[in-house]
Amino acid sequence: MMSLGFLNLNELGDFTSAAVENDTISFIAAHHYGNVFTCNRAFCLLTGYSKEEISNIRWPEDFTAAELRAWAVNIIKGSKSNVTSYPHELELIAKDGSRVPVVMYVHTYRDGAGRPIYNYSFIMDMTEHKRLENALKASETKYRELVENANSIILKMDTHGNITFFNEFAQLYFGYQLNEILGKNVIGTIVPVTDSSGGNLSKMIRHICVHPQLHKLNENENMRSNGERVWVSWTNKAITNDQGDVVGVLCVGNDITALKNAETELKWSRDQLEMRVSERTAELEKVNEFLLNEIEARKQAEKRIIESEEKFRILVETSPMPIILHRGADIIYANPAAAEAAGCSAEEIQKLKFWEPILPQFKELARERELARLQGEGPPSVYEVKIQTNRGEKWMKTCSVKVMYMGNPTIMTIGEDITPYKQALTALKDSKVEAELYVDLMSHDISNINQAGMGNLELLQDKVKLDAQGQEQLSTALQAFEKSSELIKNVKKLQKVKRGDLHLEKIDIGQILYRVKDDYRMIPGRDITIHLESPEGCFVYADRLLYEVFSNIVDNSIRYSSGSVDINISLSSVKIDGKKFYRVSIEDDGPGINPDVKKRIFNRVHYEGGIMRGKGLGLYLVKTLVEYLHGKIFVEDSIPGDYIKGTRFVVMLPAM
Amino acid sequence: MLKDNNNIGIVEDEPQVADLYKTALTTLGMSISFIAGDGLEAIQAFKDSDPKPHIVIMDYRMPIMTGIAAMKEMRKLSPETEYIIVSADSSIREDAIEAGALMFLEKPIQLKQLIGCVKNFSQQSTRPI
Repeated sequence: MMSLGFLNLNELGDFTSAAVENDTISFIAAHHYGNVFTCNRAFCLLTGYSKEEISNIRWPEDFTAAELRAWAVNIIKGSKSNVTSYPHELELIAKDGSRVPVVMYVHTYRDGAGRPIYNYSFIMDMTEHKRLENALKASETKYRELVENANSIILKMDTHGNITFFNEFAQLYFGYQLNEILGKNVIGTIVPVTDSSGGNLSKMIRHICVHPQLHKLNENENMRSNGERVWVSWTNKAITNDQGDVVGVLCVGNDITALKNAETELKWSRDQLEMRVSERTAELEKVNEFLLNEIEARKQAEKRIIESEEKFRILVETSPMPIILHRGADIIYANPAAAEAAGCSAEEIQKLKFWEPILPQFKELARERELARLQGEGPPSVYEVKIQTNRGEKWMKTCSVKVMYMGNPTIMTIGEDITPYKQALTALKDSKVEAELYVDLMSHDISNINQAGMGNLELLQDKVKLDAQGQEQLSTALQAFEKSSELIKNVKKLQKVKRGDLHLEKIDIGQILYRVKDDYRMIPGRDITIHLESPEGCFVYADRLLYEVFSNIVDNSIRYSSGSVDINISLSSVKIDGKKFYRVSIEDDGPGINPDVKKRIFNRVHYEGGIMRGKGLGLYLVKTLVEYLHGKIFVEDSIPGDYIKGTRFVVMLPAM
Repeated sequence: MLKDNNNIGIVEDEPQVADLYKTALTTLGMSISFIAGDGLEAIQAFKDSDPKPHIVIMDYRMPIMTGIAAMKEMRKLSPETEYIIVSADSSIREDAIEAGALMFLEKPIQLKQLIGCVKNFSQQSTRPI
């Protein structure tokens, strides 16, 4: 029965033995200088020996390696006290030869004289402990190696930001020796107060130190010892004590300067790209708009082409003028008018060679010209041919041009029936020829008649003595013949001018005027004074009929005056619209010309009171000739406003 | 009065005009060598005439041959004879002179003018035909 009072162990007896025997801590006792005399089960398990075996083994000698034996003996047997003051670490050799790390608590039992009798040890198997310790050591070593050899910045700082650990990489990276950086605050050393964009890094670091869990990942600008700014990506972990308070921050950083620069560049490139994309998009939009406009324009153009084609079709198909397209000899297209002109159907005409309807005398001409045109040569585009139709021969005026039809060079010929015109022209020519013939014949015959009449009257004048009246009548008869002759001469001259049958040459006006002066200054029975001012070398491009212009005017001055008459002829050069003209002024002091008469004086005929007057052609001839020579003629009063004081004729001719 | 040997040839297809010239000239005392009505006839008459006329008054426009053509042929036969070409067509004046005519007179001629020309030539001429 168990007592409730406290018992000493030596009073426990079996209980104490059982407690030791069953404990997990190994127990061994040995005679001080002898063998083991007891151990517990744990020791047997520890060493692998049975108790029986153990009883024959020396402690500690047989349980220790040679190199540790002496030491072990010394600890166990050499102790001067009953209990060693601290545990000893030892390696025991198990039965299987393995080494078992233990920690021993060595005791010595002494007799009254203090002589050691027994020694006993409590032994703890440190295998697991050692294993853990070794593992820890290995881990620590690995950790240390990792930390020291890491290509990452690893630092620790306290809650104030002072650096408590700075791995080798960090030292190299930031350019600080360990003794230069440990204990220093990160701000001002590896962290600038503000970053390049003005951000407050000092504030940020303080916050990280206090609340690292809020900044597990952080990127910020840092600074090397030489002031160079770098970017580091940090992983921050709080270092806590056993109470869970933050006592520091473990920071692992990786340089991302290049990355940041690349990011910046990338951003810049992206911005540039976006800008270019925007620009390109804008360009493409413009192009798109342009293309859309183009498409619209093309659609409109197509529409216009269709309309134009329709117009053309209507124009061509309904045109009364023959229109054909031919290439080489073949007719590719002929409008209905062309088929009708050729006297065949639209299908039949396309089987013809284009020159077939043309009469032989024009066929070769047409063929040569159109083939040459197709070859790219430049024969005349417009010419006349005669064609054979089912309604007889027709004159056609053709106009041909080279076009591109269906991508191939083609000749387009448009014809115009000019048969009526030709007939009218022929009739006109015939009439003209006939009229000229009549004029020639009549002028010749009338001249002869006049010659006979005048000549005989002249003879009569000399032969027969007539009274005053008779003389006057004779004179009148002679004058009539002279007028008739003059009329005929003027008609012939007019005919010549109208026909353009003039021989134009370089003529000195001055010489003509001098001749006129000479011819008219001595008129029997008249006192004629002709003053002439004419410089030399005034040349015009004219016919010799030019004499008639000035002689006619001077003749009129004399004829339509009586008694004495002064005629002033002057020649000068003038410029009109930049062109040089010669101005001949023939001025007289005769009776003048009535303003009404002046208006029609150059007309061929005029009527006064319903009666035709002015049968003479003189001034009409003068005006016709002057105008043929591209000149001008006009009449005015010698004294402006007072026509009875004489007349001035002015002739302007282009200078040569 | 002119010399007897001033004989004149008249070539004119219009008989009345030919008569007129003949009357006017004979009144002056000139003799008429021949009167022909066209160029061919004139050439033949000229060939047959002896002596050859001093002057020939030659109309220009005539049947068969013009006066200038006839004149050229007649000049080949006898270059001494002078010719006065007469025509209502003044445009042939230059041709006539170039062909060798003494002068050109435009019809209708004033007889005084014709007679004056013939007189002048006769007085200037000293060589016998």
